Amino acid sequence: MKERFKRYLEQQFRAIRPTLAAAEYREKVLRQLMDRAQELRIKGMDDDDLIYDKCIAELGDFGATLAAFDEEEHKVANTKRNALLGAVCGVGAVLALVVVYLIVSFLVDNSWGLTWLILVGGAFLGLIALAVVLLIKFGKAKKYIPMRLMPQLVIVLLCVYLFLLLQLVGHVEMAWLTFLVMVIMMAAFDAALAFITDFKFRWIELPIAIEIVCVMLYVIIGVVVGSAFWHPGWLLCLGGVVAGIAEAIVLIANRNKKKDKKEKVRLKDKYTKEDESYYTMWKD
Amino acid sequence: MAKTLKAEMWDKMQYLFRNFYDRMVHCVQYYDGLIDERVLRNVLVFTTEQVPVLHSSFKSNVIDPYWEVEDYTVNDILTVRESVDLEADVNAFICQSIPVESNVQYKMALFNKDGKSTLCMIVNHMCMDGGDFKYFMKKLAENYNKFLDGDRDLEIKTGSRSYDEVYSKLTPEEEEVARGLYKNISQVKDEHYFPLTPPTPGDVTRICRRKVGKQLFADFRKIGKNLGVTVNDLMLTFYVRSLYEIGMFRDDERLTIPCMVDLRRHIVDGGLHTGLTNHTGFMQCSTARKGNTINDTLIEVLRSVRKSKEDPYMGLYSLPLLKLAYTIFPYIISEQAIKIGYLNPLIGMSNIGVMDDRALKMGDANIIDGFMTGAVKYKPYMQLALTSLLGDITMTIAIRGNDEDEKIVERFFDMIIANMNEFVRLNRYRVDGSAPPSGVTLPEAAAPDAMAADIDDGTVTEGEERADAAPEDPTAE
Repeated sequence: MKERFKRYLEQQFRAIRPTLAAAEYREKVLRQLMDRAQELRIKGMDDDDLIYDKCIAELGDFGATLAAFDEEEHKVANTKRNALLGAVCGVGAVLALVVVYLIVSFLVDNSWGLTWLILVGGAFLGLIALAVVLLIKFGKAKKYIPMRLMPQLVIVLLCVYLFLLLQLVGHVEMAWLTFLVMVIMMAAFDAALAFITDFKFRWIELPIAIEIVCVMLYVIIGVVVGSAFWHPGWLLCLGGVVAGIAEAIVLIANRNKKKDKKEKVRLKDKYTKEDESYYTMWKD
Repeated sequence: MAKTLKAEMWDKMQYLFRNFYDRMVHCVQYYDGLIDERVLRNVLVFTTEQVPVLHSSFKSNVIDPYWEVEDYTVNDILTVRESVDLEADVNAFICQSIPVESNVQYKMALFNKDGKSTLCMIVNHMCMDGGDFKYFMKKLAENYNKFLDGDRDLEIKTGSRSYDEVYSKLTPEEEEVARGLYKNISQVKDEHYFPLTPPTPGDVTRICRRKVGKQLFADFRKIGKNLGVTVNDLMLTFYVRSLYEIGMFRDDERLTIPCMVDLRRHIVDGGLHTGLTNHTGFMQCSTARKGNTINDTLIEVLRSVRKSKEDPYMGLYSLPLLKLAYTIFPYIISEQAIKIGYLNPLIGMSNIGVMDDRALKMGDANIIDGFMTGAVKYKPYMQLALTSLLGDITMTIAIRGNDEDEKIVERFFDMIIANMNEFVRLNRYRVDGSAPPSGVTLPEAAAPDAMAADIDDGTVTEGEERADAAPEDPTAE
């Protein structure tokens, strides 16, 4: 039996490159085949031909498995290279950032209180880059829930940094409004992604997002414009409810339209399509 | 970590039915020669390896039950023994039950006596129904024969066991409709029950069986062919009328009996590429009255059955409701919810259909007799199962009862046979050209539409055999 398995594997492994990894893999598969054959014997199968056929059949499309193994070998090497390159670039970027931070801090008088923003900005930029990579990765893998978390992270980081800049550097009075804008952006982006990814509950999410945007706008405009806006500005808060009702009407209308169309086609086929053959034709 | 398999919807449903029956499906096949034990062992291991659910134990997890694949040897499945009292051995074997915790979910016995083998098998209904059981036995014989011929390319289907394979042959529009059939068809309140004695601790499993007889079967099938009705319709008629008689129901009482339907009619290739599983629904046969003669009962049956047969979604009702219950609730709650909504029929009928003698041949050993039957029902539930082989029908009623119950069942079989004879007596003139007996009700005259509707309508229930199949060809379905 072992010799038969060996012969089979020798033949199959000729299709890929004769690397050390391939040799190790071949040994591993042989061991698996022998273990499986032994198991089948213990279970009560005593026909060598049947055992051999069953073991080989259980390997599935072994040619494809080997091709994938060969490709994976390449991939592993490439991944290792890319990881090393990424690590070197990362360390380089951190060092460069620290150098810039020190130079600016030393050259500009009384700047130690603000130059830490350079380091924070660099760290945020790194996190944003990571989030974008993950966004693409999750998107490709069609893992939409974690994918949708990534833009949220980016928006939060951008808004926090913008707030720090406005507050500490620009001394803008109402810099905190950035956080209200942040909520608007988060809701809007997520709703957009829900539609892009065909999220099951996108039509429920849409009026919720609109409601959030409306409330945030109401607060922002109210704060900026002043007391004159609060009333009748509150009407803006009904935006989500109005959008929800409008959406339900549109959805029902569309559904009915589709149904009508189908029914019309069916009735047209049934009553207007002339088919004289029916005079003599029966379903049996 | 042990390998696990998803418990499909029908697995859970059949598990729920443990409250009504023993969840076993049974088969006995008598051969005129010896079956090679060594070959059978090899084929069984091959089959069991291909279908992991057959060597798994069921874990009734409160949230989501599952199967855990278990180790086994062929000795856990197959028993081989020289038999002295063959019938006693067969009965002892088929009357046992396999617990869900067992490492294997089916057992087989090979009893040899006087140079002849008898093959018995029981399998957990959670793994497969009568339709796939027939397929399993055919494949077993096919693989056995291949092995004997030196061919090692054995096979058995290993596709999806999901319930929603039943929608695979429907058009997208039909599927949309079928997936919306939430109606609970088990909620037909028929309180008629088969008059067995009350349950006692001394009750034991009994698989009562009776053969119709080749001549009688051929006679009523020939008449059925002449009238354009199926064997299933005829058997249902004999059954219904006998129930009126043994139950002493009033003649004008409505009697509703669920008849098992093989849902593989809705599956691409008749389910040849799905996994071994259950795909059984039921259609209701509801007769408004007993009728004066057996022909009147036949008309009542046809009127009811026609409605079901004309329904393109026959048997597909309630499936979305069950699916919904299992989806939105944890298992422990869904089981309680389904228990509340599901009424297990007190009386039922399952026509498992034709056992193909040529397909069941094993080497040089020809099948000479045999039957399949469903689960052993707990009183007051009862079901008549039918299988035909070599031009004869075997009726089986599997119950847990006492000697008195067995006598009642035997009396019931007598009544069915008597009704068959009465049908033949009343209608023989249709096929042999003799004069009709006096006072006979002519079904055509009484309800021409009722009779005509069943001519070649192409629909058959589970394993249903058409009466217009040539009598010489007992395997025709």
